Amino acid sequence: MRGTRVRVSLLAACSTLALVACDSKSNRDVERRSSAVSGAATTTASVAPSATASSSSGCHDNSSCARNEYCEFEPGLCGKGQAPGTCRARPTACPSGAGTYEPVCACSGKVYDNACAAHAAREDLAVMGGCKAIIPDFAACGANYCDAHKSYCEIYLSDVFDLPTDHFCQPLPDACKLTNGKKPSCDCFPKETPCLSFCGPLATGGIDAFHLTCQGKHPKHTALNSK
Amino acid sequence: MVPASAWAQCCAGYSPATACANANLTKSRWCIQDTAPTGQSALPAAFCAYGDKVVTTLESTFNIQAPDTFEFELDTQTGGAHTGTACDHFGDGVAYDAFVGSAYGATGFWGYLLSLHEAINDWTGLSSSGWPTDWWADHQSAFPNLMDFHIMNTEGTQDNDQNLIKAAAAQKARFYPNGDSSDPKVVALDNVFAAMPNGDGYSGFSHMFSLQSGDGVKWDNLGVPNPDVKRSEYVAAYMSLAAGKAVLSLLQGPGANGGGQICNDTPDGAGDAPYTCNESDIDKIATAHCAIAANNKPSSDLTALRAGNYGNIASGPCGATCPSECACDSSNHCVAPWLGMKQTGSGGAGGASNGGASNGGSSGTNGGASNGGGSGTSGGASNGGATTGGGVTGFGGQASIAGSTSIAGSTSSSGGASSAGTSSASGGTVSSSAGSSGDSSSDSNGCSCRAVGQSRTESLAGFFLASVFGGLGLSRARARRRSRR
Repeated sequence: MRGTRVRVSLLAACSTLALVACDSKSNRDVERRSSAVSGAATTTASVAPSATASSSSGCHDNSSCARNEYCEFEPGLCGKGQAPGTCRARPTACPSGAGTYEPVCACSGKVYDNACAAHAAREDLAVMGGCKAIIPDFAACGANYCDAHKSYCEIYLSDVFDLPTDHFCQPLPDACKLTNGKKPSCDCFPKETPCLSFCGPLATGGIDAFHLTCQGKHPKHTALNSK
Repeated sequence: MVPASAWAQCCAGYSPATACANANLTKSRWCIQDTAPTGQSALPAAFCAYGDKVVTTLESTFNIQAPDTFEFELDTQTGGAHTGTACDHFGDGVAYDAFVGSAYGATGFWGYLLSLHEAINDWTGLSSSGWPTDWWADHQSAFPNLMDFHIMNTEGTQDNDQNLIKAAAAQKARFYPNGDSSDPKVVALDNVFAAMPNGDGYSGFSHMFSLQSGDGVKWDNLGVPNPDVKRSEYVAAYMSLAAGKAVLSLLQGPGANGGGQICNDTPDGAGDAPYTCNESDIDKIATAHCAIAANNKPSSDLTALRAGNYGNIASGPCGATCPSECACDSSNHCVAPWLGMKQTGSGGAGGASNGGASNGGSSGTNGGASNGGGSGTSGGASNGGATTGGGVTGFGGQASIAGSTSIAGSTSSSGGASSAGTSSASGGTVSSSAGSSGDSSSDSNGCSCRAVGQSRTESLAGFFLASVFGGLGLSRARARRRSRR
């Protein structure tokens, strides 16, 4: 019940907000937009079919869904949370080529090139991450991987399993980008950047990314809710 | 040298921290991910003993022994913190860069905080569930955040570790007004912490959980969703019973340092419908607890209370079975203490109202005398207000402390409230006489109820938070399942 209410309110609010301004675990649409920071602008459209619920009944895995559907959980806890998932239409075509590589971590632990590819394989995304794959220059950030050259991972820690930690790939300030092969320190972020008090490196196997981590509520939750 | 066996105990890809090789740890171990760019220097030696102390403290407060050696991991790829380890050992993991460098003026601030915070969540996973997600534990996690700075301060004070004390103060300041994570709910619960008898929030909350557990009440069995007004009223009722007075005003606020926004129709920020708790409902729930005990816990009434049906529970007599946390009303019914007239210790509230005063005895005296002369119900009401005032006074002191000095001030602040409460409860000379008159009439009515504000002598620390953090809704399995971030 809680998840449903959160979903409705945030879905409405997110439509008017800027990129990655919403809770990734409560709004998959935003999650996709979040990943878009690291690259392709075409992904949102490519996964549009999955936004249409084709079954009103809850699912606990793909066996509850039709063959052309996959079970999407809200939040994306891969069936480990209390709330059942929803059967979503399985994408029939996904973008490919330049700018479409936005790796995501799926519930099986497998990494796909983008969310659409995962859904096409009837996989839901794991908002808590956990995929073992190392992708040079891409930092694991929840279900997404942030391109260390273009983005950093903003993290809001949660203490409640059913309300998992928020992860956002946020645009990297120019001052924080690799310069002459050298990675700047956290001082490159503007002082008003959220979560800057706990900033550090995030290993990728290539160049380090940044993580900026907050303990406490996501300030945008309040802003959204007050609307 | 780190024994070879120790290396085998860390998860694959992690190595024991050499800094802790000679620390003689018995309850924990520290493991550093082999890919840490800073290698073994990621963990300063100061953290080694902290790990054992955190485990010891949590075992004590939750009264739950660690099922295994607790493993603290330093990760290179999570950027945050999480319960569980890379190989499902009992423990937690924190980003390796949390333990060096400074934040908020304290070296290793995030390392101290997050390793503790996630350990708390681990113990949470070992206990129960169902606490209100809109104010007890959510993304805001008001209660765990509250306990973080109290426990950090306790650890720091015990070791005279000024850096850790500073970290605790900073963590507290973060949630107070003008802090970067300012949260009126954390402040509200801290106000309740200080408003507990003797200003002892540890014992107070522990008492609360023992009362809840004693009734067999489980929040998830109340037949309402989470969050929900009834669930919150139940929690507030047990909290009030432990405090010996109604605490709804402290929860709702605005209280000291802006504490509040709980149960007062304020949106929780997560999309849940807001609601307002009703004091009369809380009174009924608390009185139902008292009545059931006074009636020797008839199973039908207990069942009703546990199911959220507190409205049809028979009243209980004011006699030997009326428990110490309750009081007697003018009709000789065993009721919530703030509704009773035999509140001989109500002087405690008077003391609290003068919380900062050095003459707690005399303020307690006044409070006691005032209550002795007042009618039961109105006396209770005035006590509630007075106590709240005491909390405000106390936290005025804490606010300045939180600014930078040290959270130890909260101890003295609490101590102020505590001494005020104690003086009236245990009865300074005059307070005692005021209390005596109440006791006399109590006795004449056959009531054995304890005085409100009376200092609990029994230690409930062991039970403390067994259900406290348990409310976060995690089973142990879930805690372990929790994915690495």
